[in-house]
Amino acid sequence: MSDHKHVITRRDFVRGTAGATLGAVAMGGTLEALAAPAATSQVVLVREQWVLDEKHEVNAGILKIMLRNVLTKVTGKPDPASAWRALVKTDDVIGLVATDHLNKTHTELIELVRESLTEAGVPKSNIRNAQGGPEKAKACTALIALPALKAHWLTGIGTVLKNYITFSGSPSSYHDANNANLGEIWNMPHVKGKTRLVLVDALRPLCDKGPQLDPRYLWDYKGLIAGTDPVAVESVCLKIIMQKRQALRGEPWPLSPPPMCVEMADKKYGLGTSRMEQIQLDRIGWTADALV
Amino acid sequence: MHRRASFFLGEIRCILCLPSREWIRRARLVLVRVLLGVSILPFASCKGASAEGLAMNEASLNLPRSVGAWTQSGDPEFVGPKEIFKYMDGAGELYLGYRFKRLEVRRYASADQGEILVELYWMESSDDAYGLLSGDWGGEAVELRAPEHGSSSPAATEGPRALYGAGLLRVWSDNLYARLIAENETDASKKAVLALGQAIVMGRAAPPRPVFIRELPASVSSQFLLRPDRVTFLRSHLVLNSVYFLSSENLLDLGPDCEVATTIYVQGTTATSSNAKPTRLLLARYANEAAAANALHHFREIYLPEKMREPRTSLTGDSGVVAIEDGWMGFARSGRGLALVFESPDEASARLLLNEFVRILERLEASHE
Repeated sequence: MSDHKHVITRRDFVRGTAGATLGAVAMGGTLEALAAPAATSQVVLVREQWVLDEKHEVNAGILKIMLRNVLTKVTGKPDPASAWRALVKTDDVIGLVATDHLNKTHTELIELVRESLTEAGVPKSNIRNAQGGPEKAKACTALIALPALKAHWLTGIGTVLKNYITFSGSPSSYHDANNANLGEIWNMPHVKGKTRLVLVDALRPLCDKGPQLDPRYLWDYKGLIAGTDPVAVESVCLKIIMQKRQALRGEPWPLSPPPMCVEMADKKYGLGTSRMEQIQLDRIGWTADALV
Repeated sequence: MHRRASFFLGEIRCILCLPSREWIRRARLVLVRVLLGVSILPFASCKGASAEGLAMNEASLNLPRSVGAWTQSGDPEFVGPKEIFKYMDGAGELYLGYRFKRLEVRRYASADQGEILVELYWMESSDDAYGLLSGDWGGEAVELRAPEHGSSSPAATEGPRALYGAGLLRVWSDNLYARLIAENETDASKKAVLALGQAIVMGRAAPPRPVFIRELPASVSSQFLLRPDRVTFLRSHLVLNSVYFLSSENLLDLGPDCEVATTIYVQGTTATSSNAKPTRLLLARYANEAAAANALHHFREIYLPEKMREPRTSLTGDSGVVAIEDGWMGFARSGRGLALVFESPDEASARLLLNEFVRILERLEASHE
């Protein structure tokens, strides 16, 4: 088999060796080398019961408070302005990278982030929508990832890591089995090191994978999930999605295909940690049905 | 007029290829339309893909201009296989995996109740459209056509042909798969969506489920019970992976000319008991015997590499049963058919299930279905 290209099978997942195996093969390394522990990453989960009404409309006032809580908790700063200044420079060209397809990021959240950045001293002209091709990322010196929480039929989960797929210039080459390589986009020269904050819109997530929107699988979670480690944030998101699926069916309902991209982003691309035991989850606000 | 005349000629050419009962039924339908002068191209203007050259069972829709508070807005949009990725980022593979021909999109607008989006996916065959519905049996089963006098609801015996939930109606109607979704779900929008669903299926054929699906036994030796809500028909490995991940590679050489049924069987007294240990079944049929043999070889080499290297392995023939990490798995090829069992609780159960499914393959081959 050693002369064959490595193929991931279900058996690799059952054995728990899928990511490690693929990573080891890709890097030519050993499994032992992959076992080195990573530093603990912080993820902040803020939820408020009344941020959505019964028609799922956003209460912008409550969302603003949630954003404030996220920013101050992630940075340890006392207010949003100083929090943003800890994350970005006021002369940065800042790209907001929101989900623009299938369970889109709420426009209220995007606007609040924009407004909040402006209040922190970033000129309006330096804040732009960066969702799109590689040139969008190239034009920015800092990126704020603003994906919405959702499952995806080709990648298992389609939230944080997949949010930058268009920066690759060839999105379809990351579909199917190649979803495992989504992490490499974050290491491309025009993307690497630019992401200052990952802020997930978990107000009304989508727990089944589509490929098209099925409203039966939307639910009011009323949360924001944030951190500076994209893999840790994605791992928390993944746990929420998986727990919701199990709760809906009353039996295990695994994501298929398995979200290989999460573990690979950790073990192959070194973007952060996918291990829940290495994630410090800080919670603020509403706790019912948190699923994590 | 010229276009309509050539359209009818096309229909006649098409029905000549059909089995006799279906031939007679469709021929009658065409004759009635000719005599009544019914317009069968009610929405001829289009964008993107062409509406020209439609087969008979693709152009018979006559959707209302208005339904409740909603009125059709703009011209229908037509999306072909080349444009589907532009229309729906990432979702194109699903439809192409089911031999997609064309998508027709219609929009119904209202003053203050949001939009109703109607997507009509014209597929190569009824089996393809069924396959799309079978991706998710969740939602409320709805009967869109009135049952014939004295007959029971088809849903009671065959499973649903339409499912509704949270504003979304999904419909299998012959070679058409339809998705109708209300922007805001209300009682009024539900009524409108269901009325549009009824208009879609009206006068259209309702072929039976794919033959592989019909052949799945409700139980095997009274020990294993079928989970009807987990039955899926598919042709592509991407769709298989979205149901049951097998491999990052197309291990079973699936493709448009394959027919695959997959489902789970559970041990116990009720099929929906959540404590029951499920066993996964996959039945595949290929274009010919060589293709099936190659697929089995490919599968064994990648999925069971260490077992194949064992001296005196018994897995090199057309059938075998072996213990792996998640239970017992078995495979058996019969002609151009292949049966696979995964996660069986023990060897005897794996063999029992395989034998049953091989009999199905043999029966289908003998009957030339």
